Amino acid sequence: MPIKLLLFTFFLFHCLNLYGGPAEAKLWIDKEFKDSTLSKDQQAKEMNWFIKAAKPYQDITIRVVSERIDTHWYEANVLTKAFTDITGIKVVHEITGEDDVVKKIKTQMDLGYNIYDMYINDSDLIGTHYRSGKVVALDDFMKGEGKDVTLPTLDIKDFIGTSFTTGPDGKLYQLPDQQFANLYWYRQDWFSRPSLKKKFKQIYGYQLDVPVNWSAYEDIAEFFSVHVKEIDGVKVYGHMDYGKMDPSLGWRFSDAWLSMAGAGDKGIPNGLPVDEWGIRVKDCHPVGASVSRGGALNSPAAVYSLRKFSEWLDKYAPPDARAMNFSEAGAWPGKGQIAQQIFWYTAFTAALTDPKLAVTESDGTPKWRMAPSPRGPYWQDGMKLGYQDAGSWTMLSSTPLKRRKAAWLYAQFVVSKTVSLKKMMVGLTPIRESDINSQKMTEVAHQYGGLIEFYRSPARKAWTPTGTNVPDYPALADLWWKNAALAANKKMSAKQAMDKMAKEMDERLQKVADIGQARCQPKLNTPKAESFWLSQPGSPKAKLANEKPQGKTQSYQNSLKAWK
Amino acid sequence: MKTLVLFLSLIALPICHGAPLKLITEELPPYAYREGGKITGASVDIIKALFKQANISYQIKMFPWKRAYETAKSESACIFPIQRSQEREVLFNWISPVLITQTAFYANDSGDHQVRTLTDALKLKIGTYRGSAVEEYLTGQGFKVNSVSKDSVNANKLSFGRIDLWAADTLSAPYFANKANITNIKEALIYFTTLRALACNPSVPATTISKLQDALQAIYKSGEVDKILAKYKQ
Repeated sequence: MPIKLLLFTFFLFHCLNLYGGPAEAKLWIDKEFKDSTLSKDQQAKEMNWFIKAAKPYQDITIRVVSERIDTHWYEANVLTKAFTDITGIKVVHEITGEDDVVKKIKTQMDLGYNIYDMYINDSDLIGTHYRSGKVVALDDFMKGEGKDVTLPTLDIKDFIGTSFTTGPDGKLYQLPDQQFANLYWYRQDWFSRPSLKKKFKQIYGYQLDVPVNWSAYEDIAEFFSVHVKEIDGVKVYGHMDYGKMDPSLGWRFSDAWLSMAGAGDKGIPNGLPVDEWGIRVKDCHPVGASVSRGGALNSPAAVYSLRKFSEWLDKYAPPDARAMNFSEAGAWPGKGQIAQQIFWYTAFTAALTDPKLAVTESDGTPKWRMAPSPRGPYWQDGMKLGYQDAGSWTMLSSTPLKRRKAAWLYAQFVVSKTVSLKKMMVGLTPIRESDINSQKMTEVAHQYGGLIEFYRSPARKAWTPTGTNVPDYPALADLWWKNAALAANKKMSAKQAMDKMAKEMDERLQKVADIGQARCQPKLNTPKAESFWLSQPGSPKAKLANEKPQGKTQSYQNSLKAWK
Repeated sequence: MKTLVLFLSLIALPICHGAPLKLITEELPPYAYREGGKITGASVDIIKALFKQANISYQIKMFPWKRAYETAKSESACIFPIQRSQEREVLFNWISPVLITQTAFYANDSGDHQVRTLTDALKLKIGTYRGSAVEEYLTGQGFKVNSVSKDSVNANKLSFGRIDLWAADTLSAPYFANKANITNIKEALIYFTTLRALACNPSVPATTISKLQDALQAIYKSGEVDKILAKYKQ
């Protein structure tokens, strides 16, 4: 019956053009938004606010864009309809690759040409947005010209990712829409087999378990690829990665790989004064990426991280991995041939719980677990330990105010407490503390291989996006894939590739300075002997005499406790 | 299918000395097409304005898409107006965007399909132009499409109800419909925006790329691009 009622209402909306109202809100609450941390009355009140606030904007169609993940498909295909039915504002939510989102926002920023009314743009661009002067600070908007369209129950403090989207001036520039992390992934069923545990102990002298450091990860990779080779008649590998010269190879590095090795300074969400891109800042001005200017992009820790990436790809990953891109490699863990993966995005969680896969039980319960990423020998307490993606609502000043206001209503709708818990269950990309701690999440946590436990722990704070040291992400990001690919494909050594990249990064930083930014633009240091910077405390750090300390592992339970 | 390799060339007067840069386009009305022995169209006009602003001499040739693409990959030449994508990123140096275009679903006036989002079209019979970026996008999202080798055919198919929707560029679709005197089709949903670029073989000098990128910003900011596009939207 409710479906018939819904269809009838749908017919009414379209034939009579009757959009917006409490009855439509009730239909959606009852049908789609049953799981919420709000009571139905509270949901209805929240939706009533949207209905009233939307009245002046019902004549326009807004257009927004985001990358291609399950959460955004849900928004584009379901939540746009709910929003239009409830408020009367029409919305087209386009879906494309993240690379394309970045190019489009860059185009609008450069040309002042309104392409979209708002963007869901990764918070990795926070340093760009803050400096550009072309992004509306949401704190200012909510108190000023957008006050009448700002949801009273938005509850900004409930968002777990606002430290990623806040500029050096303390203002909020972006509002998180979805978040996922990059964690360690492994086959818990294989790691639990007594015969494999015994064999590992015999060879390496310690327990086969969750690796704490890169030495243990490397030993486990070798163990499965070289010593075990086959499990239950199937060829297995101790490592999976990808190395094709393609923009997606850049994410593999700019998404915090150097920080996992320990290349940057201490500091959460990002190392200060040197971050995981190896860029040093002084008083908010980037001063260089190369060691000779006080940066760490070609430091011993950075070179080590690229060398290990290339070496493991060569020795322990499937033979074709070097020629794969991000999407091609992403399908591999589900095939049942990979024992562990050091760099695995939790956005793949839902895809890896398909009961048809070799890595799940028949009821979809995972045979795998996610755990904190192992750290490299240069890493120290107080440093970030991995990447977190925070796709966040971003408003450009070049968009006309009326359109910005209407788009802001849609943005708040898809993160509102009425909607957010259901959205989290669909896409597993949490943004609100209240959703993560909800009873519903307790009930379903066992289905997701450690995802909910990770997000309930304070450790999630050590998994963070690119930060404010990076002054112009779109202008600098391609250097990662263009140079990492040289080492991955053996055209250069890791040292040569990082030296080349550091030099080019400095040149690009200078170009950004020459073009000019609204604030905190780069001011490069004069080069000095590398020994000067390497002998100072913190990053860049001098080469360690031993880059392979004793391998160390811990039980899955203890790895969870470490997060408490 | 037998392909007639037709090309006409337009030699622009060299603005400065040196060999003119070879630019390749495909027949893509109203962005690029032949008229009275000349290559013209919205993107061609923008390219002319761009090269004039950059003070670089050029020569435009028109090839079928596959030959155009292969030539730009293998020779010191540039291709336009090409969709910039992750897969193509590594092959060229990019001057972008030459055009910002939109793609829509078009429906028959008498059809009763409600298309509010992309997935509403999932089960409908959609006509596309073979090998186009429009088709690539839809098949990449799991859509099954009815592909034809000439987009103008889709206008007729939609008019006669042989397809439910036609996925097409928002300038191309009205162009083809007008040419065929088709009046019973309507825009149902604009679902995607595309940046189209001038993509140059890596052997084209970096200084040329940089000059062209700066010139592109200038013609956007001066309003020249808008003026050119306005002519084709009438």
